[in-house]
Amino acid sequence: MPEHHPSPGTVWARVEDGFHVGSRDGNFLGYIERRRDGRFVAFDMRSAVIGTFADLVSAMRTLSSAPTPAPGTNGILTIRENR
Amino acid sequence: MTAADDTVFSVVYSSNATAPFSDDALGELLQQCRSANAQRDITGMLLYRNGRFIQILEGPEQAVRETMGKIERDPRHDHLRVLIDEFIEERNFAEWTMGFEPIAMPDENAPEGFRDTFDDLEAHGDPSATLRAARELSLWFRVRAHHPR
Repeated sequence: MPEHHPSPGTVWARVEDGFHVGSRDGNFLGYIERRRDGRFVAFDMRSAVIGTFADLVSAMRTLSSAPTPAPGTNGILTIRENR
Repeated sequence: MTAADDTVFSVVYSSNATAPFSDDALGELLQQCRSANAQRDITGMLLYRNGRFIQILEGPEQAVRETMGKIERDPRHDHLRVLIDEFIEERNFAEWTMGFEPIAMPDENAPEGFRDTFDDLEAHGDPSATLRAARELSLWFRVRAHHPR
């Protein structure tokens, strides 16, 4: 698997096998799903396909390099803490 | 309707099922939830994973608090723990009186450097991690609901 140098502040989480979510500074970058054929599909927060990749790291790198969405532009998926 | 009537209160809680839930028992629980929630203008989602419930409720504050009171008294739940309670700007599950998607325990370790959403959800003393994990689950739910595997 290619080496991945995580972007500062980017958090990656596994929700279930094959479903991964990236976030940075309280905003979600998008998510990555592993398909049945073993390839990884990266999606933005509107569920639009960003690309299909042979490995997870390449998908992570692409999502990480996408511009961070402005706060509020990804609706419910903006992390806000008001407690 | 006053502005206060539009306020949306949201609670995320986890609990243990006091007995394993069959598909039929889950179906019955969901039917009860949906019927009661529709009457109370409550929306949300329910996850059942490895004997534990995670539920998100949202709606008018009084209705959500009363529903939480009922759940706390429901003998099917034990060790209930409120993970998040907050006012939110808009509903996250407006389409669901109680959405449900099956989710399995992972068979694999999380990839290196990845956090585990379910670990974070119940992270003691780290509200930011809990909040982020709840949002991750919300995202997962919406993706699964709209794009089934």
